[in-house]
Amino acid sequence: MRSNPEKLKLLFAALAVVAAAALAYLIPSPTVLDAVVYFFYFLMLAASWNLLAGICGQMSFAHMAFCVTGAYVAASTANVLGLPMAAAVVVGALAAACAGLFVGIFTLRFRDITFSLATFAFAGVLTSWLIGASDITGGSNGMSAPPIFSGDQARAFVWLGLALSVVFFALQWLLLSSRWGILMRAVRDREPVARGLGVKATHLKVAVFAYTAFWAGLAGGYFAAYTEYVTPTMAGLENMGLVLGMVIVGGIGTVAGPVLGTLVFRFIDFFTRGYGGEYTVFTFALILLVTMLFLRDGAMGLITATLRRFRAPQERWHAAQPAAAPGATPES
Amino acid sequence: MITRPRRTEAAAKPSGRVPVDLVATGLRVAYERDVEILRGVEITAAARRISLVIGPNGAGKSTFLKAVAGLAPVTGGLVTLGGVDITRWRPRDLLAHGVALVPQNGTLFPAMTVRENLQMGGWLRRREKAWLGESIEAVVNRFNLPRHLVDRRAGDLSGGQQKLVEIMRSMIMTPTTLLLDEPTAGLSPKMASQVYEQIAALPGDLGVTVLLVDQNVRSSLAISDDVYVLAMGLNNDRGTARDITERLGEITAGWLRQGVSGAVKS
Amino acid sequence: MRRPKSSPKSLLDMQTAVQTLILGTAIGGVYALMGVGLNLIFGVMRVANFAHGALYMIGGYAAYYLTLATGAPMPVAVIGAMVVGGCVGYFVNAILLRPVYRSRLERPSEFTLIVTFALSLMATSAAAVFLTPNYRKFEGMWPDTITLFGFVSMSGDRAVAFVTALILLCALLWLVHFTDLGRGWRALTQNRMGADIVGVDVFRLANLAFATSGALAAAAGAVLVPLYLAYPTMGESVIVKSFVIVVLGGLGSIAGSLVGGFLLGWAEALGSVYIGSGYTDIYGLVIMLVVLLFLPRGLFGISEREV
Repeated sequence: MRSNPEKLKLLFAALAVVAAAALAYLIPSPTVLDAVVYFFYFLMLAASWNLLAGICGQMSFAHMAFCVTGAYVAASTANVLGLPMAAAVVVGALAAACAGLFVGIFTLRFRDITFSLATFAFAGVLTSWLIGASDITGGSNGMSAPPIFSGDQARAFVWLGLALSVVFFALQWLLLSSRWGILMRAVRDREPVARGLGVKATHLKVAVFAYTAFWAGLAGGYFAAYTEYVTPTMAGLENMGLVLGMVIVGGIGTVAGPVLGTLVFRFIDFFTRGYGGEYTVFTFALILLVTMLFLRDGAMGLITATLRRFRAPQERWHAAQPAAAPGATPES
Repeated sequence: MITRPRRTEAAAKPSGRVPVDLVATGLRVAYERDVEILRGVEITAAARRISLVIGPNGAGKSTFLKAVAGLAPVTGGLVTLGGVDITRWRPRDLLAHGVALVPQNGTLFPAMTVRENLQMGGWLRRREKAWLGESIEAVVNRFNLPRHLVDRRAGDLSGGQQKLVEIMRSMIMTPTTLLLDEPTAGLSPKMASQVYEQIAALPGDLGVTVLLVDQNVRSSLAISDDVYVLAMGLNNDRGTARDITERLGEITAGWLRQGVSGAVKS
Repeated sequence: MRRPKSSPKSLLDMQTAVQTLILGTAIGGVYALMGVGLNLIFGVMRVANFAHGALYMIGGYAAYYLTLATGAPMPVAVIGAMVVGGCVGYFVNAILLRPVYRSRLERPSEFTLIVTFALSLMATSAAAVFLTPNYRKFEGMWPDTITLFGFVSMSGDRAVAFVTALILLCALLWLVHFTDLGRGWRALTQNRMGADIVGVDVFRLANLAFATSGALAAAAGAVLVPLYLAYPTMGESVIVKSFVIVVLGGLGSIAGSLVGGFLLGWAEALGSVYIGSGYTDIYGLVIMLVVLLFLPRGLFGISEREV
């Protein structure tokens, strides 16, 4: 082995971070900075949902519900208890993790579709409650939140978003290269078999569910602190669809997939924003549909396939060897 | 010569249908690219006879039957029915050409009555109500199903009765060939012998060619004509039922040795 | 849910309770119509159709534009909406979900989930883009308020919606229990492998199930426009309710969704009178979560026989 793909990937990741940092430093336009903050918000959501759905195989529809939990708890602790917003965001994320633990214990007893439906129902309950309980949550008007930074807000949030994303991916990398990564994939691909081999599948799933809920809540707090406002629309079906779409379009179950997907979505949003949110959602849903029908592995699948085609012939010979070895007869 | 006909429902009419040989040549199956379950199996189910396929666990017996029935991914080889290439046909097309399948696990519709289950057996000719009624009547009489069971829910029958109803259902379309996968798995010995009795009578009474895959070697040998032994996805032995019965001890000892060597290898 | 106290001195309380139950029954019929359609698809294909709410919305708009363009009376508009919904449902399955039947998918249920979810997003946003987010309404058949037993007052359109739902439910029950198509659907629901080996054409039957389900959803949308208006996101709360009904009654069970629909109607009506009207959407969801905890297969759930 001459080239080490792990090292190459690490190099790519480092380059991406440096490029993002350089951009954040150089960008003069507030519109672009704003778009970059949105990018990191959705990246955290998409990447954590990808960990749950793509790697652990649990198609949850409650991710935005945890995001909004984090946002509301952060805003209300800051408002009511007078906590500094940065601390309140962490409290919000922890609250989201607790909610994830609680919901996970109830819903993860079900598998496949029933699990999806149960999480969907939970998200529905929460959204209706947020709108209905106007005395606590401010109803559909939402709730205001104090800022974290003074001064150049947007640029500071870009740095914060970048830092949080780097932390997320670093932790994910550690997680996936540990025993847990294998167990998660085993539960995704063959849950009954994994159970039979002694994997405590439900414990594992609940843990992953709570962990990703934590990140969703953190993203929610981040966003609430940036916009200084939280509303129930954050938990809407539409936003859940966007997050799901980013992961699928980028390539579900891959590390870089959510990054690519979020980029694609941010570009669409950036150029259709002037027309109204419906256009963005429509275009993006169309792309999601086309991806599902013709490119099921998403952008990452496309990239991997292209790379394989251009790989050195010597390496290709190695790759092709095992398939040909058992002597598959040519079909007439 | 192998012909490739169109797989139309029109072929479902049994007029002028004669029992023919079902032949598998060089049949290969792989669920994943490198893992071949069958590596070139040759089996002929001769017309109006009962052909039995036996072998140790993991030999590919059930996979073989699934491959013939179009339920397992065939990667090579041919399945022909009287010279017609039927490789990779779906169960629906096979049934239209007179090949019926009774899989191992229960396939009855538990909330429907036995009569409705039998009606479902004639799904391909569901519009010919008169014919369907007659066919159900004929099958019920032929298998001596107690009348009071006909309007029972299929899920309420005993295991043996369910298996018999399954075989009856596969007979509604008057197939020429019946593929049976472990028909007595999980049945009591008494029930099993009843099921075997009914299977044994099929070639003589209805002119059906039976291809039987079974773990219950001794009982199934007693009703079979030809026997094929599979091991590790390949043909291992073949002979008449009498021949194989005589050498049974030697053959099963061979399975044990293979099992041991296989375990050592892995 | 708190049961109203029925002491003789409070005749008024009794009357309120009866009125609430009747209103709950009226809306429950339409809920049942939505739930039964969704569950038909679930039974036949083992798939949750997230686009069910979009079909409801399409039905509402189809009826609205039909009356606007031709001045057709409401029954014609409803039938027109059903035709539109049926066609949309048919083609969604026949074209977009085709890979589920015609190729080896690793996770077919996940595929359908995402495709139908994307479709529902697309339909909602397309309605907002092309038809504007305005609320629209056409005059119902019976806009007056009617009075039953002297104390139950209810809008005539609500009665029309209930009767339409009842007629369609009966038609569906007939289809499922007394036709070959229905027998095929039941066979697919009860044993997929069994249906396969007796020669049932899964793709064709699933197409027809989708068309039927689409027509029912569109009819539900159409009859409710005079009451609740037509707007792009009208399907969103309805899809949540439909899932609640399906899970409540048991996945794949037609009778279950009938019961589930009425249960949800009653729960919402009673809850909004006796607990608070702000949380109407929550009561059903809470009931569903509670039922799921004790009966993971719902009230009438069929046992899954995966092959």
